[in-house]
Formats: sequence, C-alpha cells, structure tokens
Amino acid sequence: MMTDDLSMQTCPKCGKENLTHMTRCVHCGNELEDLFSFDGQIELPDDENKDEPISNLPLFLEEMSNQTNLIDEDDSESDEDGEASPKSDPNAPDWLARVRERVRAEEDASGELTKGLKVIEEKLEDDNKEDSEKQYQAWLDEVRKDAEAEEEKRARRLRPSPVDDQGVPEWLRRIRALHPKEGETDEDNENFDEWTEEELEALRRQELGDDYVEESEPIEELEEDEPESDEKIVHNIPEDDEDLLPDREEKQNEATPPTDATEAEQEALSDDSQFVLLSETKLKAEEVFNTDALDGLLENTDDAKDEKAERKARAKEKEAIIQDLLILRGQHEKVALLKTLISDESRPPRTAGKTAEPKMTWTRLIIGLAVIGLLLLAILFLPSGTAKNPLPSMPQLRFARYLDGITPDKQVLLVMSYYSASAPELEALATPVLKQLDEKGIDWQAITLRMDGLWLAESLYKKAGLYDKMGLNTARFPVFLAGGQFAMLDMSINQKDKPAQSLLQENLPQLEDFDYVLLLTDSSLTVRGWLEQVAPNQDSLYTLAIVSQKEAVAIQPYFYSGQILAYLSGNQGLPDTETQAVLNQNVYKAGMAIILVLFVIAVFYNAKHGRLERPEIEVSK
Amino acid sequence: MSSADLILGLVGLALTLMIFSYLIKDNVFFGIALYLLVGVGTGFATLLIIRSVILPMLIKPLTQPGTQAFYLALVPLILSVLLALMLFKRGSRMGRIPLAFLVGAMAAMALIGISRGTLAPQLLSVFHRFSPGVVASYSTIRWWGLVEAIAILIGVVAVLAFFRERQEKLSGQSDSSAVLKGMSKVGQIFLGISFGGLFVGLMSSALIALIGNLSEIVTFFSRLLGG
Repeated sequence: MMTDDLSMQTCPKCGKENLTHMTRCVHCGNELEDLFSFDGQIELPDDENKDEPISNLPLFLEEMSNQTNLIDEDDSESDEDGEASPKSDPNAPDWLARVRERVRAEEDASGELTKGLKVIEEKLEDDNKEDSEKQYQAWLDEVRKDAEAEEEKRARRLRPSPVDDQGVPEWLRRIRALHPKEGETDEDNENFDEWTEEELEALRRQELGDDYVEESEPIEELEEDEPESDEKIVHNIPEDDEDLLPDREEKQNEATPPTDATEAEQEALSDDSQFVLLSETKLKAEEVFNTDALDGLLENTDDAKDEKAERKARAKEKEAIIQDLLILRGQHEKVALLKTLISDESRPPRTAGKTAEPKMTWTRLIIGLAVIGLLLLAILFLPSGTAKNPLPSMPQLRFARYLDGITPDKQVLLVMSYYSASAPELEALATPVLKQLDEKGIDWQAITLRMDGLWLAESLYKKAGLYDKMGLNTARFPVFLAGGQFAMLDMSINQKDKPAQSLLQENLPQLEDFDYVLLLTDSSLTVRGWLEQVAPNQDSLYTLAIVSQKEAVAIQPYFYSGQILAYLSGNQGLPDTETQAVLNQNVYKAGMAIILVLFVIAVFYNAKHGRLERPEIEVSK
Repeated sequence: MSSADLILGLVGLALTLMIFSYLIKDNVFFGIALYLLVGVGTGFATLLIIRSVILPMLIKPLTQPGTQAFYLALVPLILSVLLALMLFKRGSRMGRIPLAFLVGAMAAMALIGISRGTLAPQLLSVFHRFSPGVVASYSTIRWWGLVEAIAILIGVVAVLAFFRERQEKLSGQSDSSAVLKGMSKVGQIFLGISFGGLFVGLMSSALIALIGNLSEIVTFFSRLLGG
C-alpha cells in the first residue's frame, strides 16, 4: 500500500522491482547505483545537466553582479568549495558526485536570483527616499477621499427604501431582478415586466451614484448582437466569491477581450470607484515586477530621463496595487451584504430580544366579572342548601362508620398540611369531624407539616367552636414538624428508645400514644409521604384522611388497597351532617353549572377555530 | 365590628381586588399583591425556622457541651457551614458535600418508602382481589368486585403499554406489535378518564375557594353595613 505512490526501479539482474533510492537489489543483492535517483529527479543527459545552471541564468543578473561586485566572497568561496568537494573525496561514487554537483548548481542558481532581487529592492529604496514623503501624503489624501466617499454611500444606502404596492422594498426588487431564482420561467420574467432595461439602468444610476459604471461599448455591441442577454451590470466579485456568478463571468471574459480603449476606460473608472469591470483583473506577477523596465533602469542608472520614467512606472504600479486592495475590500463587504440579503429574503423579520407586550384581553375580563357577579348573586339570593347526599360514596360511609367507632379511650393525631387557598374547602369538611370528636370527649393532638398551618389552625378551631374552649395554653395547638418526609420518618421510629433524638424534638408527640391519624391536607404527596415513611413503621396506627377534591383521584388507590381506611373530599362531607355553615351547597351547584356552560362554550369555540387538534409527537431520528 | 376587624377586612378586600385585576392584564397592582405575599411568607418562614428549628435543634444542644445532643448537633452545624461556603466561589466545591449527603439520603429514603409504601401494597392489592381464598370466602360470587379487579388489572397493564409504545414512538421505532398498539389505545382511555377526574377535582376545589372568599367579602360588607 505504501509503495503505490513510489516510483520503482527494476533490477537488471533478476528483473524484480526495487525502490528508487535502493543501492542494492533486495532480492538478489546486485548493485543498483547506476539506477539510483531521487524521487522527482528529472534525468537529463550529462552534457545538458552540466550546462543547465549557467545557460538559464538571466543575463542582467550576471551584468549586475559584475558591475556592483556584490557577490560575496563567501559565496565564491563556497562555490569553490563546492567545486572542490567532489575532488576532495576521490573515493566517492560517481552517482554521489553527480548529486552533489546538481545540488550545488541549484544552490548557485537560487543564490544569484536572491542576490538580484536584493539589489533591486535596495535600488528601489534609494529612489523612493527622495519623494517618499510626498507620495505618502498624496496616498493618505486618496485614502481619506475614498473613506469619505464610502461614508456617503453608506449613508445613502441606510435611507429607507421605497416600498411598492405589495410591500416589497425597492432593494429587494432590485436583487430579485438581478438574481432571478432557479426554475423561474420566461413567463415569470415577463410577468416581472415592471423593470425594463431602461428602468433598471436608471435605478442603478440612482442607487450606485458614484459607483455606477456605464457599460462600455464592446459590451453594448455584444448586447446588440445578442439581444437575449439581459445581464448588463457586471460586478467585480473577488475570486473567493466567484461562485455567485460563474457563468456570467465566463461569458464576459470570453466575449470582451481587453482592448486598449476599454483598458483605458476601465483604468479611469477604477481610479474613482470601487466598482470595476470584470476585465480589469489583478495585475500579473510580471507586471508588478516589470523586468523590462528594471533592465533598462539597471543599464542606464545615471540617465535622469530613464529615472523619471522608471519612477512614474513604479508609482503607477503602486497605485494599481493599492487600488486593487481597496477594491477587494469593498467587494468583500458588498458580497457579504448581498449574501445576507439573499439568505434572509424568505425569513421572518428578526424580533430577538423583544417580547410581546401582554395584551389586554377584554373577553377574559368580561367573562371573569360575569362569573363573579353571578356567584355573588347566588350567594346573596340563593337559600342555604343542605349537604345531605342521597347517595353517599363508599369512602364517605366508611369514614362515618370509623368516626362513630372511635371511643373516648382512643387518641387521635391530627396532621395538618394545606395552603390557605384550600382552607375553605378543608375547613368545611373538618369542622363537623372535630365537633364530633370534641362532643365524644376524645383526646386529640395536632401537628402541622407547613408553617402556615400554625395560624390556619386558629381559623379551623374557631369555625369548629373549639377555640374558646381550648384557651391559649393548650396542647391541642399544632406543633410544627420541620423537615418534611425526613421528619415523618424520624417520628415513626420509636423515640422512647432514643433519648438523644427526644432531646432534639421535645414537643413532638409520640406516635405510639395514638390509635388514629387524621390527615388534613390538600396534597396527595403528603398522604403518600405519610403512607410510605410512617405507616410501614406503625402497624397499629389507622389512617383516615380529609383531602381536597383535586387530590381525591390520586389517593383513591390507597383507599382501595386498604392503606387509608376512609376519606372525605371536596363536597362529599360527612353524611347526615350540615356543612352549609361554611359552604352554601346551592351556590356551589350554581357555580358548577356556570363553569360547565363556560366549558362547553370554550370547547365549541376552540373547535370552530381548529384549536382542538392534538399535537404530533416529535419523533427523534 | 372592631376597628381591627374593619382594617383587616378592608386590607383583605383590597388585596383580593388587586389579585382579581389580573383578569385585565398583568399589572402593577397584581405584582404588588404577589410580592407582598412572597415577602410576608418569607419573613414568616424565616422567623419560624429560627424559633422552631435553629434555636431548639442547633443552638440549644450546642450550649450543653459533652452531652450526646451536643455531638449530634455538630453534624448539622458542619454541614450547614459547608453549605454556606457555596456562597463563595472558592468554597463552592465544599458545598457539594452536604448536597451529596442530602441527595443520597433523600434518594435512599424515597426508594425504600416507595417500595414499602406504594409498590408492594398496590401490587398485593391487585393480586389479593384474584386470590381464591378471598373469592371463596363469600357465599355468592361478587360479580361487581370481580369486574372491579379485572378493570384495575387491565388499567395497569394498558397504561404501562401506552407508555411503552410512546417511548418506542419517541425513539423512532415504528415496528410496535399490534397487541401493544391495541393495549396502548386502551391505556389512553384509562389515562383520559383519570385526567378528567383530576380536572374536575381541580375545578371543584377552585370553585369552592372562590365561593369561600366571596362569602367572606359578603359577610364583611353585611357586618359593616349592619353596624
């Protein structure tokens, strides 16, 4: 594999292939010195090889070296050494001598070229010293002028572009006219007939201003010959971006051979503008390093006329190079702008960083006020309804049965964990239960898993009529249990056997003292946490729950598995008890009817506007 | 009505109206009420934590050197100091120690708790309904109980199938078996019923809360006007 790219040599003895740099055949051991060669070395006859370095050297370099005697003695010494080296080693093989000779010849050639260039540079520097300041000042003035012109053009471009009837800005129409999309038929182009050639010409003149370049005569003649060609403007796009206009450039290059007249025109145009015709290409290397002029200069260094002419030529070259660089920079900016405009054409306008202001939704306000107004009317005018449910649910019935079964010798622990927003709902359910416990004389204590439970308990006790009975110094006020499920787990462990922990939680009730736990919460997570952390460690503890209606569905599995003996939720309070002191059942029913009507209206409204379609699942590929 | 009740009632009414002003749009009054709630809640929580946690559980044991409570209290003290180091750039790495301890303990506790408190009892509950001993313990066949047990079993399997099939869809696999697809559809029905129940419960709770607050306002005005 590795030898595929290497040239091989064939052994004359065994006929097998060897690498070119092998001096002996690896198969038969035969010497291959005659066939030895470097990779890429061009084999030439010996006679030609000897004369090659001298015959190919430019004559002016030789003359220059003779006149100025600038060839170092070291070089000559090295040359002599180089010539002497093969002689100094008579035992060296012939191939090695040839190699050394070849290397020495190439070194000499490159050395003379370098020396010649050095001489040219030094010569140029000497000449430039005289008027360098003037030229520098003139160059600075030109650069300033160009910069000012550029600023004016940019300011002109930033002005808002006029918009047509369809809302398309003029710059976009211009780009579309200049760059028709692929697949557009001639009919499409014909339909785009608002932009005739004359209008485009006028638009170019207006927009480009100083940059506008009138078409030269040869191009016009070409267009007359080829009336189908509608590409008049030719942008001088750098080589890096030639892919934008590949065919057009080729056509132009082929169709407009540079003539003296057009070159003069282009040169004049390129002096003042950054837009030039394609035929004005960058200067070639031989033009930059004008050897003919330099030859003449070197031959007649004392001639003042020649010096002037040479100076002019050099200044011209310099201007051409500077102008070329400026053109390239301007072109790059224009091409980048054009690319951005074309790529952003079909995209939505950029609104990054801007967030939409929340709009005032009058519909929402009206509906909200209507619901509140209707509920207020219902509260004011509807009579208080009874909470008796003709068909109580199984959890309700079981709760009532367990509550009835609690005897005065049992102890109940009330665990509170709910937000104040859920207080009306939970207080309505818990108030009759607490009343019944108090009437039976059952001993009970309370803990809260939330901080705000401390003052929510006060509201609950007041509604149950217990606050005045208990007074301020009572153990029935809840103890805050900090730590969530950690605290639950800690509490479930037998604390009597761990005096150190009891020191940390002095007021915490001992679970072993209780027979029933009544969870009063608006979160199924609290119920789950209790059942997962406490209940497995306390087998003799029966769990009852009063939960918010929104969590009733989530705790039902625990009821059916027997982990919760019974629960009350939402509007399903204790059967045969009246909760209307807290919640008017008729108002609740009226509210549910209003919400149902609104829900149906919303469903029909959204269905009419197609907003009920399910979003598709995004499949990862 | 006392002056304190009057002031508290007016403040409550004003705050309620400020919250309701969100119906118009997100405005400054709604923001004030919201920030007031957050600020008051934070202040209350801070004081309560100092009083109920830091003082009795940390400071008090530390005032009893040589006791077991003292040495136990050193552990949360060190962990708290390490956690406080997260406020500084250089000490942020040290703060990972208490966080790692906390996360590890929580994960272990949750894993054991779920296994003992939810998974095992729920599975046993489903199996128990099909237990021959339970079925035979009744004199007649409990058809409703049997239907209920079958429905629970089908629901569990179908919901699991739905999530399995959805996972395959998300990963680009379209070669799910017909049985899996069918069970997935059934699972969607069960999930729909569950979410419907949750939604009704949520609406019911919100309605009760609204009625409760409106009733409070009506009561306040009636007491105010009635003297």
